[in-house]
Amino acid sequence: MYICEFCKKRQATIHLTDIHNNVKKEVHMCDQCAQTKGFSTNQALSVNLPQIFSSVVKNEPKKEKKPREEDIVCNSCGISWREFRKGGRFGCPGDYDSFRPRLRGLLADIHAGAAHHAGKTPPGKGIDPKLRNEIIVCRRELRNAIDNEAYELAAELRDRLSELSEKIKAEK
Amino acid sequence: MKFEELVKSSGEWLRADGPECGIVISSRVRLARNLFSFRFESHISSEEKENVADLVKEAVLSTSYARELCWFDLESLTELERHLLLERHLISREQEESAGARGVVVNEPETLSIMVNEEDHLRLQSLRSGLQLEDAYEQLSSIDDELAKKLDYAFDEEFGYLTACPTNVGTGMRVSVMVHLPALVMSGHIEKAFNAVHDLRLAVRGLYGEGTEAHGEFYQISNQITIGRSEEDILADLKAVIEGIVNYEKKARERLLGREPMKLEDKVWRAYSTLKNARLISSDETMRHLSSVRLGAQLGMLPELELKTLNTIFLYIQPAHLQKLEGKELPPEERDLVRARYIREHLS
Repeated sequence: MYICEFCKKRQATIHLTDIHNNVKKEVHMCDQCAQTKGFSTNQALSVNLPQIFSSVVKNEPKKEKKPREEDIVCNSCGISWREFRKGGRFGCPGDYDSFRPRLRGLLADIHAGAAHHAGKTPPGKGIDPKLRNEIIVCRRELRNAIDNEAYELAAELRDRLSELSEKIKAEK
Repeated sequence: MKFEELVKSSGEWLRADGPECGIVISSRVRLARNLFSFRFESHISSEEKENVADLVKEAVLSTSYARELCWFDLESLTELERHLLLERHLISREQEESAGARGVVVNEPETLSIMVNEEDHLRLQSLRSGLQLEDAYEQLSSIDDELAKKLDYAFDEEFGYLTACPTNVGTGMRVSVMVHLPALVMSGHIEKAFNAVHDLRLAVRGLYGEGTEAHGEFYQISNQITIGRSEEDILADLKAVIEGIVNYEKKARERLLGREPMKLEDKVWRAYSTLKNARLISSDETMRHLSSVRLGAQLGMLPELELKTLNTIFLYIQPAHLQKLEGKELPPEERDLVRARYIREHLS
């Protein structure tokens, strides 16, 4: 059961739905209010629907502005998309992977169109990006462990780092 | 090579023997590279910086270029020495002013420098006299390929070489050419030339890059787009633009000479007399007069004067160079005195 959105007392008997630009809006009103707005069920087609919708929207409490773009965080260095946009600098090479879909548009804006690499490629085969991310995370955690005087953890992380470095050497 | 030797030697680009060296002072190509498993400058820890510096130093000094290379640790140099490297264009302002483990590798003719822990982990740079972009790039690309086999570069199939700033990603390449355009300035055509340059997505800057002012009609023109085009295309496009500007400047010089030869000659000789006789002179004033004298020398008004001499003065009248030559720090008024003396000695 809906309450009339104009008088906020009586039961609504008229229900209007407007779909515009994929946004659905509904208005529910009672008979009396419908009449004062110059609207009756017999003359639905002659009524100015946009006006009715806009009058309801005016009565509604102010909605928040368009929701901000959802923030995302790089899983290697921990920098967020917003931090990057604010400072203009990336935190680590892994950011390009974490922010890839958004970067396509940004790079196209900065570089006048095409944002796909068309230049040289480093000789030799590339290294698994997962390995790269793990090393960056490991280094970050090591820094935190030292700052927090968690020396046992720091020693473990150091061992892990040297294992990972060996792996890279083996891959090269 | 020790730092003191570097102070006394002068880079090959000063010799002024490259193509179009009357108008194009130097060509510079720079490649930005990063190591994939380290954070960038804004987030890197001091230990990581040391680690990066060690890795890069070891890799660079094991390339086929190693014998001619010399490593300068910026942390252990004085402020004055760092500033001298900046005046030589061997390091950037950002690297001069930042903190922590960082350094630069330079070869003896100063045609190559590799900055370590700049905004990017590596900035490879090649410098040449006159308009020699392809040569500069070839040397750089070959050492870059050698380093890629020793270091784990951050590279992505889609985005190319990954850099700390999105304005450098892709090729990581910035090509910049230093030009001297006095006739375009005097004839009021410089804005028209620069508007055309901006329309082609190229940047015009002062002598020391971003945010610096132009002195004495010397400008740097560089590419801004680094992704979506190959290195060769970027080089060829910039070269074509520079050739156009060089021709435009040459025509403006001819016109000036044809229309008001005496006015031009007077300006050149007045500038020359000031440089030859001044007892106190600031670097701004020097640059202004050097610009006129350079133009006069190019137009055959001062046949005994070599471009090399002017380029050397151009470099050594800068504050850090003067102080290093004197062997002590000097307040600005004293620098003006030492500068005037240096110029007199070299023009006599």
